[in-house]
Amino acid sequence: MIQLTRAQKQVQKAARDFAKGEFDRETAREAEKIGQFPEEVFQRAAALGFVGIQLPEAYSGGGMGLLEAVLLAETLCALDGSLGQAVCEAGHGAECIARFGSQDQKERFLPPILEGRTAVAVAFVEAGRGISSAPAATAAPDDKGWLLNGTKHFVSNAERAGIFLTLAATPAGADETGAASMFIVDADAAGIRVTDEGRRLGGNLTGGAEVTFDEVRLTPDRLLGKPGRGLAQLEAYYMERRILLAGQALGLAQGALERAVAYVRQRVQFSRKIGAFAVTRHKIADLAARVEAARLTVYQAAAAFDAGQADARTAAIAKLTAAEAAIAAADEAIQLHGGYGYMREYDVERYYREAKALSLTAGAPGDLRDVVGASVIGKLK
Amino acid sequence: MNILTYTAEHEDFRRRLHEFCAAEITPFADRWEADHAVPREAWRRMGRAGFLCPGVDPAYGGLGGDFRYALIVNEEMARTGQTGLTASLHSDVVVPYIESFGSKAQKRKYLPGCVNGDIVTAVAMTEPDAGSDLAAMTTTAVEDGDTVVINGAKTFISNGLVCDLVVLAARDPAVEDRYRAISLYLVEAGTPGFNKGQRLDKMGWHSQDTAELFFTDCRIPLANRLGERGAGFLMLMAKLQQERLTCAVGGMVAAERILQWTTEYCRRTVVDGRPLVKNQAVQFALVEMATEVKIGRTFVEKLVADHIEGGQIVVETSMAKYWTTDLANRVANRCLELMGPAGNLERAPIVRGLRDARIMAIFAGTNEIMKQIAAKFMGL
Repeated sequence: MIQLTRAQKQVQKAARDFAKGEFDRETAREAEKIGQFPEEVFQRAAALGFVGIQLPEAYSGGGMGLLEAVLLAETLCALDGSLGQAVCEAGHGAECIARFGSQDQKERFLPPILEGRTAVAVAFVEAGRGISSAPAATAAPDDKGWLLNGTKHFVSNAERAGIFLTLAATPAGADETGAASMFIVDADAAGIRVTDEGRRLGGNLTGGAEVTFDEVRLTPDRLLGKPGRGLAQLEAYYMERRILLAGQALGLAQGALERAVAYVRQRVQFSRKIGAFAVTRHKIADLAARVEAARLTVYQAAAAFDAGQADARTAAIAKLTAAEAAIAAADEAIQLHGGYGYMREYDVERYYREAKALSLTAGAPGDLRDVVGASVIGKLK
Repeated sequence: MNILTYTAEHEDFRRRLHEFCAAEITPFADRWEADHAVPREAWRRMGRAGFLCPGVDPAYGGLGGDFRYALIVNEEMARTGQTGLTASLHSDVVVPYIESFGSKAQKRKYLPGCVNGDIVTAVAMTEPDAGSDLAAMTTTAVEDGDTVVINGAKTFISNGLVCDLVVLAARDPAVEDRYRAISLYLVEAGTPGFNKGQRLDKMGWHSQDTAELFFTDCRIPLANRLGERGAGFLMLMAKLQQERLTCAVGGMVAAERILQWTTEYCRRTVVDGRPLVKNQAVQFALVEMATEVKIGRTFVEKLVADHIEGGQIVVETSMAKYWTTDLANRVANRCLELMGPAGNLERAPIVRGLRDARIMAIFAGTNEIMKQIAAKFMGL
């Protein structure tokens, strides 16, 4: 049974106060329309310690846990689905450095990221490869370190990035096949080409790009984590990432539900508030039930992570459940708004697009079902 | 045995329209979407080529064709990747009001232009406080001698900016009965007192100019009233069967097109050395969607056949409208899932398809209203 502590409730309150002061709906709409990252809002969030809230204080993190990060994500994304996500996503990747990095790497790279001075972009995914598969990109070792070659896709924050995190195939040791390693790459290194992938359905504030590495020089200090352990690190990254994304999805679901309720309480047709119709009540009921179930699943997953007891299955279920709830809630919110739900001005269509985009990130539903199914069924002989 | 059979004339019409769309519409779809507008000239070209209002009597320049032509146009236009040139709205929803209820003089005056693309039409019923509850409209039409004075505002009007002629629903403020108060009027763009608002910014249908229309002491001749005074609501109800059927066709072809594109995508996209389509879960998803799409097509074609025979299919068209538009949305959502992160990029046509499908469950009467109507006519 999860009871939020006073400190956790304070995180929610701090997030609410921040969003109420900083999130302006019209600004959010305009920024989303043109795909402009909300730099000022993000800087203020960083100044409040919201970036890397679950990462160690020694490196400018918040020193709290994943549950606090989830509460923060949920609160911000409920108040604005696009701005909330952008603030949460902007520091994404820092957790890899915190979890896998050497002391030196953590001291060097984390404070600038968590203080909002350097942006990080995670370049793991390749089109044509499954999201947990060995990469086609290669890092060939030489006497100066490695030479990195390959192309990554769907990289958010790429245009703003000061550093990229990437995953490349490295020669296997005698006991490993398909070995890969993670690397930290300076965005201004020679041989990097960033190509905008264009307008997206959702996630336009952080955008997406194709990033090509062409004979990019990596010095030995740029190996992140253990050589050849990239895929195992990737799975650890996904575990944390999926729970965080589930927290964002929970916020989208809650925000959509709240907007739907507010609208049906005030819209009059056929001489009464449309909230009075039986079908409206049932629709809202279904959403509320889904959001409640998703919330418990996500909070449980985050708490398990903080207790060192989370696994890939828990994280995948949390994301699957929360993303579905977000899509359902935003979809119904549009419907309940009638024609107004289709207008940008009413924001609910934006929540729907953000929910859809989130559901395709770090594990589309099919990928997540593979993870959960394989885990539950177990290894077959 | 096919539910619908097409004659050689139908097939020839389809072939020529297919070529027309490939040359005159599809290549411009992306630009029209980016511009949020369709050039007026595109409508004129389509009219001159004989693809607008195929149902209109040859006496006014039309083909005198049956609703199978409407189905053909809807199917071919669905392939163009744009929604701004809403030929079906003009030909199958608005112009039929003039065909059915217009006086000879009105028909002679307006129908030829509707056919040849000189006159683009819109229908204006919805208001900010009269959406599902249409009878709650407050736009007034006061008949005064041989003029009518109109005051009020309409919203969410498709073709709002491009239209030359509007079929407007307005109420007589002196009549208490909400339903008997409504009459229909033909209002020409440019009439003093009739102003078009800004283009409304929407989730999808970007090339379609949806707008507000404002009437401030707008005077039109009494000769522009369409049909009998006070018969507006009855006329709207009479025409809504075809409007709903048109929307049901639209939902069905949207679902078909999205599924077809996604199936091709899954065939050609290789992940970890294997085409997506070889994944059992992907196969089952495509089969399940194909099954529902086939069921939808069968239902809609049956209703088209019934409609051509003059059947009263209010319940069935309401069912079809809500079911196929819900299907289009379900298919769009599930297909995007199959694409993974690539499904978040606008350069994939089905992303636009998802955004465009969403409104179908709302316009022409929300799907909730469709169920309400079906309930009423089922005697529930």
